[in-house]
Amino acid sequence: MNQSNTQPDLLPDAHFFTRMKEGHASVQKCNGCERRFFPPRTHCPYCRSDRATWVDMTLSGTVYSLTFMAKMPGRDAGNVLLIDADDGFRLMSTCVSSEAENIKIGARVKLSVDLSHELPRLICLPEM
Amino acid sequence: MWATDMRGSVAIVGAATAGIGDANGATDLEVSSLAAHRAIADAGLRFEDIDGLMTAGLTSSMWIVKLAEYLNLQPKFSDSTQIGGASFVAHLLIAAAAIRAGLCRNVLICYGATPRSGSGISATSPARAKMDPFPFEDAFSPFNPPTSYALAAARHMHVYGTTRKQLAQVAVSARKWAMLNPEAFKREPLTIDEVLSAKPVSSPFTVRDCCLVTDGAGAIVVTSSATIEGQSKPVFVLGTGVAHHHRQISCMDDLTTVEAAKVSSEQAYCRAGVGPSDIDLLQLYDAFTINPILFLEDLGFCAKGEGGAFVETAGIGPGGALPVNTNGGGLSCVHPGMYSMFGLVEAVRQLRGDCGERQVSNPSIALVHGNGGVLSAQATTILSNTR
Repeated sequence: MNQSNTQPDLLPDAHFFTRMKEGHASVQKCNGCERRFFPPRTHCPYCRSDRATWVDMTLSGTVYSLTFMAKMPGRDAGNVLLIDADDGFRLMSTCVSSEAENIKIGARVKLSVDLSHELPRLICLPEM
Repeated sequence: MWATDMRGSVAIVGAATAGIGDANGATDLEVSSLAAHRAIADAGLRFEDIDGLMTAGLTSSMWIVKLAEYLNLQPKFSDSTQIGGASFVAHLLIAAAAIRAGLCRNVLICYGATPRSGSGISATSPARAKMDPFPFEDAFSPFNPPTSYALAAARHMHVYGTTRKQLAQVAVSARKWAMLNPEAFKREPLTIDEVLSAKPVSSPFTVRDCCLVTDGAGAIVVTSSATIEGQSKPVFVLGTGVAHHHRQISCMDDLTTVEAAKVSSEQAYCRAGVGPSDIDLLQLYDAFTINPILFLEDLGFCAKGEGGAFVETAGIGPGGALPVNTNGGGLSCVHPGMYSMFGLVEAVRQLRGDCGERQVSNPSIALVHGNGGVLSAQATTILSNTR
């Protein structure tokens, strides 16, 4: 699925969400320093290169922090997690399983593409 | 290179508040105008003496222009740097540079909003979210700002063993100060157990870990220290620092260390020529109970990870080792969307000895730390009643 990396990527957000809507989580890997970075950007935030290659995201990580949000008027209860992805960046996610309340900081999780929400997103489940 | 003669180059010569708590339906312009006129009168100046205006707003796209129109002020210098709640502390750095550059002589820094009795944040938040999207966080519906700060608190508890009770102690200490402040919005007694058993918001926070939503306005007048003859109680701005490293909580490197606050405070200490041991009182932006714990650590008042133990044993309330948020802070006194203006006004009042029952004994140096976004933008200033 690598896209040509001989040209600067002018629409990284659109590319990310287009791939997500197709069910694929992609991430930019810098051609200069080879680090993977997220959220998508026009330039590598580390070495400033404008050349990156879209690669498949490694869909696993470790819970860095988490919070459980109470049910409120106009809002359902829910949880928000920060995941240190195995690809070396952090992202926000949520666990929609009934197991959610047992998740702790440091737990291993699997990520997956979720298209049931208005915005395509990466949700997580505890690793068995 | 920082010009070392900028140390104390400007002074706050007027400070005032208006509409603290519930402004009875007043508009943001009305409470701002009241605070502005009171601050200018407090400085012993006439409105015609004000030739610089600084402010920041959360809702209006051209707030400073709107406010200047209302005040019938045509400033020679105007700046509305908006870095969230830290803005007004950051404004001191810009005001000092503008005055040094000869752009103006007397700067009015002003902020007011009425989210309690006027247009509520429940109305403005969804509108803001639409105009200022965060597509990599919005999909998870974080209840922000509490959720982002809760993530920092949860991580701090995990790494350093900070306890739920230590967080609650921050709210209780703030309330004890508020009980001594006639202007504070929440003055009834508050216990640790009441904080813990209050309505849950975003774990580990209950509603008592979160700042108030009140009305309120504050204003200060800043002028050159070279032209303050006739001022009875000037408060010198010894040094100010500003830094920001992220906007979204998912982009903050280490949620237990506010690196930008370390940078802004190191700048302020260096420019002021003082250190933490010289500070007599602190105003730390307490949007949530984790904030003062983080800032006590990152501004050098205790070691990393010991902020919780510090508030529990040394104490930050009345009679404690270190007076923090002596007006009751955002947790118990006032929080109309952005707070750091009120930390500045309280520090000025303390340094002038005008604080009645809550007066700290003979303070000479105060630190005010502003925070904006989700531990995002940080600004620190050191104030003193002597230069």
